[in-house]
Amino acid sequence: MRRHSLQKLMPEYIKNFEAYTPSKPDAELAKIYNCKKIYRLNNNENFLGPPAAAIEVIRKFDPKRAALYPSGDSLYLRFKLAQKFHKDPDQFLVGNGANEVIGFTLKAFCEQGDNIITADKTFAVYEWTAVFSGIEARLAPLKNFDLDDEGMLKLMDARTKIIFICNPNNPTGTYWNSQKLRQFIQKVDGRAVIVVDEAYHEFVEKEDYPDSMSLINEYPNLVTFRTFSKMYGLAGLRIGYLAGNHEIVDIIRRTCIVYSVNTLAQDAALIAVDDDGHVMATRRLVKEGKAFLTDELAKIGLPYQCGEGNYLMVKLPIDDGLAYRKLMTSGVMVRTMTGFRFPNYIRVTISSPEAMEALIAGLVKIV
Amino acid sequence: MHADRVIQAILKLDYDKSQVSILTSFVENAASCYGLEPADALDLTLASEEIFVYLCSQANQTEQLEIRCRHGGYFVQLQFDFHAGNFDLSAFNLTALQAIDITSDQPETGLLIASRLVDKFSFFKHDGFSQLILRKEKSYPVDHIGPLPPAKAMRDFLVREPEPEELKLLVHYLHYRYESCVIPMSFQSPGKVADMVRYGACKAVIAADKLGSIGGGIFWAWQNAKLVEFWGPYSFGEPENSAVSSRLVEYMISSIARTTVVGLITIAPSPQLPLEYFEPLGTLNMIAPEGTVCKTTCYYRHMHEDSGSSVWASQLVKDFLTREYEKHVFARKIRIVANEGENISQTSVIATDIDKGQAKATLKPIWWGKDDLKLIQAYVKTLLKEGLFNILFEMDLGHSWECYFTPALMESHFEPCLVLPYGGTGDMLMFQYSGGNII
Repeated sequence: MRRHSLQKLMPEYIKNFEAYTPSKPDAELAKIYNCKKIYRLNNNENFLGPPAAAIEVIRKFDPKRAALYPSGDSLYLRFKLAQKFHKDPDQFLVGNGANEVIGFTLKAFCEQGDNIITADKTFAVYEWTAVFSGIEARLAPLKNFDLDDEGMLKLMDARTKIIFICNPNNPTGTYWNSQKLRQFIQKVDGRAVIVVDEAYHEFVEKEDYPDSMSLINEYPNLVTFRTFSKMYGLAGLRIGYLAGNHEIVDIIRRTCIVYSVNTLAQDAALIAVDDDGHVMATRRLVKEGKAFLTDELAKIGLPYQCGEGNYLMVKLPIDDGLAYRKLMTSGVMVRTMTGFRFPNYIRVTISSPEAMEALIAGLVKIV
Repeated sequence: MHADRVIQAILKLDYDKSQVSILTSFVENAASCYGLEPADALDLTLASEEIFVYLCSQANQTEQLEIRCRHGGYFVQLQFDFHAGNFDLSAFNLTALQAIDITSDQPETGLLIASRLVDKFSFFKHDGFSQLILRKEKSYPVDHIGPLPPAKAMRDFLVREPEPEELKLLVHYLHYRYESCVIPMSFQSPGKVADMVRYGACKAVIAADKLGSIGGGIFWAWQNAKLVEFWGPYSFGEPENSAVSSRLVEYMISSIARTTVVGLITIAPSPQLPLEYFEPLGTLNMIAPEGTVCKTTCYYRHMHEDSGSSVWASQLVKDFLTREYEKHVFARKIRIVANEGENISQTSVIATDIDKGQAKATLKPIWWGKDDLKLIQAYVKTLLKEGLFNILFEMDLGHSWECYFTPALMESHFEPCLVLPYGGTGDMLMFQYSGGNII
């Protein structure tokens, strides 16, 4: 074989890209770190799991259906979402997790030489997907932990195609209220697609928190992302969706990979979406968990950033990578924030009281 | 010329000594064109001649040799690329004597002679291909600026990339305000640093206020795809652990946070290094060319969440590794290697990376054989004779065979000094020659 042949075939933007390395399975980590139990506080999963009805659907799933292709465009789920949000089923696209719909949107609107805009310290997948697609990612620094609307607008030029707004922001929990979001959309004035990623929408109870789903008929360049991974506890089945007006969804549909959402995920999501009781129970758990954690963190003198969503960030007096390893020896798995450009911070998922106590005990040991 | 574009000339030659004048003309012209002074261009030309003649004497096939001459901004680099299979690799031991032309009066190999003529000399082997790299740096005036006005504490400042003139001023400040052991040897000239940054050899940011006053700075450079080395943070007119230092460090960390980098290291920490961002990894005794000894603690930051791994190791370093892994909470399974009577090669091969500016030679194993002790001791003698007092040995604990060198290293007064997580295929165990007598 000729020397460096694969290197020559690879685009420059791939050569310089670092592949994401996911965590090992819990059983492996427990062995490696010599701990009996792992408290998963790293991925903002729902400790309560899926809603009861979804659990029942999963339990009763006929294994023979595994041999059949799923609905290629998640037909029944799109009808259900349309009914819930008073829209047309064709205003929804369902993907294999919200990560997949990020890719659909990017492919639909961006070509070489274009750029996207997002924040420097936010959910990394917008930036990654752009970079490994050869699209420039322009990053506006946060201001006081919040996305900077003016900073984003200043980064726009004629080649800006998409602006990604994570609302509430992961990992800071800050959010743009209805007025700020609407003003921003008006200032963009249709020059770029605006994606509002509402992965944590169902956790927010604030009255001024915007419902971007209600704005999509008003603004044709607006797209809303939501997921079943967080509130609805279906992260392991990978299912999320986007919504927009007909025209924008028609464009994005052209880059959609059909049949990427499996039958079990569609069935479980279909039933989960109606369970308001599950939403209320989860909100209670998060509220109580945050109250406990913030009290305890104040007692041990660790600064924190706590906003909306089922997570908060803690500032440590040591390297967050070292803290991760030390906490793992107690079975507490957190998310280091170096990768989010918050050195020495960790993000922790609000989970069971037992897990929160284990976290505090672990932190007391290491600081 | 554009700093973001590789400027290079390429020559292909048969392994035939009669073509040496083609090579020397090529190198001399390219080196001059790329900015070397005539004397420096001549050194590089002579070095290339030595290498070419040596390769011709070693080659056992007729395949062509490729020589690249690259403009690196502050240096000119020659790269010889060839199939490793065409050579007996033991000929690439810097200490090899068996390949000497017996008609020559020269008692040393062309490799050693060439290494004396350049600033950096490296030999690598990977995937069946080998590379010899010779680097000659441009000559720059050394910083002779007089005393500078005292710096003031900064209140409102921004961390940003500097203009070239700001960068040079920063380097002036460094030489005026810091001990030499916390400044890289390659920073002797502000003009050189400006070129290094311009051509991407390192990155720099400064802390500056609205009036343009410089309150500090930090530098970093990719040593390979996984490791970044940094110098600083330098902070003027600020108490230790000031906001300036922390902001500089945070900027650097954030800028490499979503890259391939696994580790961030400094072997010359400044007094203002904010320790909360790093962990002490180990100690190195670095001897400057003028003879002063700097005992420095290396500080490290692991950029990823570690999910554990296994390493190979000799029983001789098991305790050291266990202690280090426990101290830094790296979950590692140590697998002991030992020769159990299986056939082994007669000869060892060790590659060398020489950095004259730091009086440093880094040895990297290519092949292990029965003569490992003899070879290592020959290396030490040769390198010390060349004034390279800082001798390191990199052992990749992801390759079990590299661990076979451990007994010979220990017997030759090398000591394990630190472990770089994922510094190679696996973790990299660094040994440093401790200065004992080699008989």
